[in-house]
Amino acid sequence: MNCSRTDEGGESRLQIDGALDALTVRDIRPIIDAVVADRPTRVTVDIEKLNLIDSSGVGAIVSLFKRVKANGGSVVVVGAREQPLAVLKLLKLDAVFGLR
Amino acid sequence: MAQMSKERPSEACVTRMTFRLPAKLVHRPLAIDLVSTLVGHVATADRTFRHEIVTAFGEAFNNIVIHGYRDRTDGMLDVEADLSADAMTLRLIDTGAAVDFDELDPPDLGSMPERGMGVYMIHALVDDVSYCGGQPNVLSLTKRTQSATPHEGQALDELLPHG
Repeated sequence: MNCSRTDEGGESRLQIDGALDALTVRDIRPIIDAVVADRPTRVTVDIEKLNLIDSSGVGAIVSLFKRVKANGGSVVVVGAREQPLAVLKLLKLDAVFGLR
Repeated sequence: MAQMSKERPSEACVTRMTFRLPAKLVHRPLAIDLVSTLVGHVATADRTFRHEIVTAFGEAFNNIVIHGYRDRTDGMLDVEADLSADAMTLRLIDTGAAVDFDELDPPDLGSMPERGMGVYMIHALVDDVSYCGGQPNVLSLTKRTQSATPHEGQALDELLPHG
């Protein structure tokens, strides 16, 4: 898993590649904590190049969503396809995350 | 070490593949890759089938490693895969603490839980789930290619097992 962060204005963008699962989620949590601490107005999570996610990975994105929202910001997820999209739909998160 | 053999055919020819690996998260990618490769030998499996059984297997793997072998570093996981043209059964066999794959409360998806979704996902993604706790514990997951996929719009209590 690789996660890169870019910032512009009050907005942050996370691009997550590879697999976000019980093994790799520990690597993304510090990045998520740092994003939340900066209190962005909007966070975009780009998972177009994410090829596998499990419930641990979903939990990390949900944690980001809840904490940014609690600070008055918003989170959208873009680019979901294949297995990650199927998992987000199963957990009824596609609409919450703004996925179509 | 992986082994493959032809089982006694019933209605369809079934090939059994087995593999064994240490029950550690670091081996999760290998286990996932092996299962994904085996799906390629289920003749009528499509991408949805692959996504669903790989996801269910991954959640089961997590539970066994994280909960079943919580205080152990020497745990092993044996996986038996029965493959036919239209179905796949995965048996995950471990000697850790029993994990209750049937009795856990279903998650309240409306509250966007951050954990506790794995067992729900397993039941939602495969056709049959059975678990026999003991020494060893055996979790069996069966998915058929002809099955309907009733996930969206189906009530949780229809997906989860009933006592």
